[in-house]
Amino acid sequence: MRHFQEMNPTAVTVHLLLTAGIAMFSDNMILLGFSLLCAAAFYVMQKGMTNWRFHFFALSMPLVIAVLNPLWNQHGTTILFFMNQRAVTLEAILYGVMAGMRLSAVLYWFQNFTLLMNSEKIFYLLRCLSPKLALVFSMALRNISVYQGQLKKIHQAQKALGMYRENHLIDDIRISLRVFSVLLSWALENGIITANSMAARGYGVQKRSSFTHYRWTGYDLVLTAVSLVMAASVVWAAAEGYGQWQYYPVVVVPSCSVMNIGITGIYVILASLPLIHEGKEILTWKCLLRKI
Amino acid sequence: MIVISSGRVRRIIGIVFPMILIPALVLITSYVFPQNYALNSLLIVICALVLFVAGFDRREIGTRRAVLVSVMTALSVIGRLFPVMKPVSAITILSGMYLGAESGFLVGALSAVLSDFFMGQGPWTPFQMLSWGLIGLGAGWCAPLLCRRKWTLLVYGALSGAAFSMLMDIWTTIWTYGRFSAAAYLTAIVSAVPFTLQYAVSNVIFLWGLGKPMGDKFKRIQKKYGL
Amino acid sequence: MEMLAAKNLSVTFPECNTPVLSDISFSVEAGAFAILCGATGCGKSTLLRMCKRELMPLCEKSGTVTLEGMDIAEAQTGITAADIGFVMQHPEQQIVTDRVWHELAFGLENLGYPTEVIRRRIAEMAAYFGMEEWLECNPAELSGGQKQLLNLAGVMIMQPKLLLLDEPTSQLDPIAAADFLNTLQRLNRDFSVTILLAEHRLEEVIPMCSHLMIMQNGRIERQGSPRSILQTAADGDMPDDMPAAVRLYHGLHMQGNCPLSVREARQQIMPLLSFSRSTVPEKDTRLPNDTALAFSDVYFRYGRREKDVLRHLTFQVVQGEIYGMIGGNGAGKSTALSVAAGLHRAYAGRVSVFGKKISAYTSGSLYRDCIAMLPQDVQTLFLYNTAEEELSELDAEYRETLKDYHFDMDDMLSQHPYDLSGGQQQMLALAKVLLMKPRLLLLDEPTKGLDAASRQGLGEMLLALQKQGITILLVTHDIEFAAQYANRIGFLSQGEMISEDTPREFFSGNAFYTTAASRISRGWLENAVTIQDILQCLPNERCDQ
Repeated sequence: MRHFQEMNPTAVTVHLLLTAGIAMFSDNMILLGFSLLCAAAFYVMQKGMTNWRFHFFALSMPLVIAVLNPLWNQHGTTILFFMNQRAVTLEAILYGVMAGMRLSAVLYWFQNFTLLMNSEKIFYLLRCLSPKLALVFSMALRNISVYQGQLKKIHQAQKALGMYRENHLIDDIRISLRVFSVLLSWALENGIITANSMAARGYGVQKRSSFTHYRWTGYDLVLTAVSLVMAASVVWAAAEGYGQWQYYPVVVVPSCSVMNIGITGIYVILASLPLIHEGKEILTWKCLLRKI
Repeated sequence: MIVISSGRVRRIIGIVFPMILIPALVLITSYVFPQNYALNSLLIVICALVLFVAGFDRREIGTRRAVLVSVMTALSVIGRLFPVMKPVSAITILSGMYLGAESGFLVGALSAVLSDFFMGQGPWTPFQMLSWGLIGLGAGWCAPLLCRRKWTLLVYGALSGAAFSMLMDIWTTIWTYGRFSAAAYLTAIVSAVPFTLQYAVSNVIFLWGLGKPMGDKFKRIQKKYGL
Repeated sequence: MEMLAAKNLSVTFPECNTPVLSDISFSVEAGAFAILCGATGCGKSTLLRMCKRELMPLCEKSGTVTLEGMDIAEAQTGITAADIGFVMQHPEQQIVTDRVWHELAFGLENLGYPTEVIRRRIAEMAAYFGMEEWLECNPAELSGGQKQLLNLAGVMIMQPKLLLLDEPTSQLDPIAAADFLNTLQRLNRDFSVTILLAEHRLEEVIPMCSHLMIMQNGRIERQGSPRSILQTAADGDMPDDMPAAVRLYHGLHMQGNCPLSVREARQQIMPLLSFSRSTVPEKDTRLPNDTALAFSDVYFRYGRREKDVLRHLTFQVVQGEIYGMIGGNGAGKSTALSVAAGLHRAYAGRVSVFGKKISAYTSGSLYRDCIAMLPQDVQTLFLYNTAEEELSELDAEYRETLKDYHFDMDDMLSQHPYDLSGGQQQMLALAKVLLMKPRLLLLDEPTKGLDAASRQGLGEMLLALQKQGITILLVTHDIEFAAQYANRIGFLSQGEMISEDTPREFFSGNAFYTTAASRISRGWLENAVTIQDILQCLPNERCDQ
């Protein structure tokens, strides 16, 4: 069973960035609605019903911006009421709802991105761009985990010197500055050992190659190609003016033509590819189990 | 990207991708979607970052400098995970001052990506990378001035804390309302005053408390590492 | 065939008058297991670095170092990087990346190997070193011993002909150190990798090696096969940390074959001796009965869902004694110490310090004139640019306060703490915590990474502190040190105190977890735990010879 997150990182990134990217520039409320739905469904599928704070924050966006947008935006013709001598228009509210949905969908897609891409995969992507930077990235990640441990040790050692009072704001700041300073010395001084160890293993001798676990399978290529084709067609159709909503001065919803519905349809398939993939894997697995 | 075995093809892609493809993409999108500020701003920021990265890869960077950049990045990420104090800018500034402008940019930008693994990635990540990167770059450029007098360093720290917050407010405005409007930006700035203050004050406290000892440590390291 | 050789090598550091290495010549055969030993500061590290071009310090150099007859200063860069592997002292800081597999790949990537070759070599290394299960781990999650094995594997993957190791086991516990050395021996035996190892833990390595070099003050005093050197060496020009068998041989001023291991000592020396008594008299130490630290029924765990680290822990440290707490890895020794220092709080049971419950000490009063702790990593205490500032920060009159302990540190006061040697750092840290004027001193692995001379210095310092009335609780892996200096030993296992006794009673009761001298004398003497003890049991005239 190969989960979506076990696919080649480039394939996953291309898919997620295209999906989120289209959501970023779309103002089609229906398309955004589906985007939000797919993203949220995939998030819940991956993580279960946890992280309520994030759900609340993301899903309240449409409401919040719908309230805020009319405060700065006097465009639109359908005046609902006046507030502080400023007109509050229906169009501005609808535009706010759309902007909120857009933000919320993008937030969910990025949350999915964080879930799917651990640091190792980011490293894999960065490596294509700049192997040197990728190495610095990997070293920094390692240092973070080492320093977290060292920070605890330093804190205890310094606390046992008994120079500071407990539960005292000023002393708390002073001890954290002090601990940080000790950590800084420790990190800088011991960094030279790392540099020596790198030099001893031939770093900088010649142009580095870059090793990776990840392979490309046919399935990854298909996923990437499908994502690219779908995204390209959506972008082309949007550039041609299909499926565009207009909010100011009045809301104009595009007509029910094949192109206008098609563009949303294609996007929905694109956005639900991860869901489809996971569903397919679960089914195959179940069939296999039955055969055993 | 598929692993490309031919070094030449790789090099060509390394030049074509950042130098031609991304700027072209930015121009095309801003022509095709003139209304979409959010997308355009994001692309411009990414473009700036990629250009920098591509430049970095071609430059010779010594083993020791690479180690120091990774050390400072890790320290500032750890700093961002601290409860009240957020000394990211302060550490970025010090790196820029003592390791050079380019390393300062790198420390700032890398700390943004890495700390967002803990704080949550989002479309804001490239903006944070650029903002902190610029703070480090500026510190590198102003290094002779900042090293000479303590108060210049503190002022730079306070300003960069505030500037970071204000740069991020531009992002907030564009993303929330789809376009940039001065009124909305002002409101965003006002509503973010507590954060701006937190950033500015913690930078000042940090640089005031640790500026001198950290400077000493850096000078010693410069000598010890032979930079 | 000659693998590594130096000819008239002299090295002087800039801003120094005396050379660090003077007129060094040696030659190591291919497939040899060579050991370089000598006191700290004799130039071992510098010599090793001179053999590895990438790590050569800035210096004035005369003479040559050759690898297979080729001067390494003139060799092609890629060759010296791959053919000479180098493993250093600190397991943690040598690791570069954040994944084990990436760490293995690092060296090959530097040399530009293609992915397929790297994939295959990683699989090979992982299978040989038995590290398949941790390939995906972050190295920070590994134990010290595993980290050092990873460093070794990361060097071996480049298939070096020569392996240089600079005190690789000094930061490891005895089990991990033995593991590491056995791996080295296996590499040497199975693949004929030439090994040059600088080491001060000689008990295990002397029996393994085929070539021994003893350094003193930047010169190689003696070199050759270990048996011939140790047989003819006079007491003066040998490092103090020779194996117990060799020390016994020299203590008895014997002639003939020198034994190198416990087995040889039992076969060759012990049957020849006639003892005048079979027990060593206990030292008469009368201590007051007041307790300094008492644990009763203490339970502790780090998280609600985690396992107990301390279980039903009950023991007392009496005022004025040196109490040595020993035990294996993960037995809970360091945890017990941090509970005693008030850094962690037990969830059940009672910890009292000088008769008062530990929680009754509020707002840091526990650390004022009462308890001080010397952490395992003493660098966690250093903050300033000079050793002097480190001390005067706590007490401007530090000289007055430390007067009674006779610290010998005048020449280190103006130096940066990180420029001091391991032993000096330990002394500085000890001086720093003593400025808190503790009555109870907690020490966590104080002998880690110290050579014999510094260990002896530390031991003597502890005895001096004891004379001043300071109670000492010592947590250590170093059973030889505990046997020599502690008044009582407590053996901790899985968070419980298994047994408690005087060192002689304790170690003579153990068959495996005991000192080398006790293993040598088992069956002849009842309770000897140091070489000194064995010599004491001989008729007087024998000793006077």
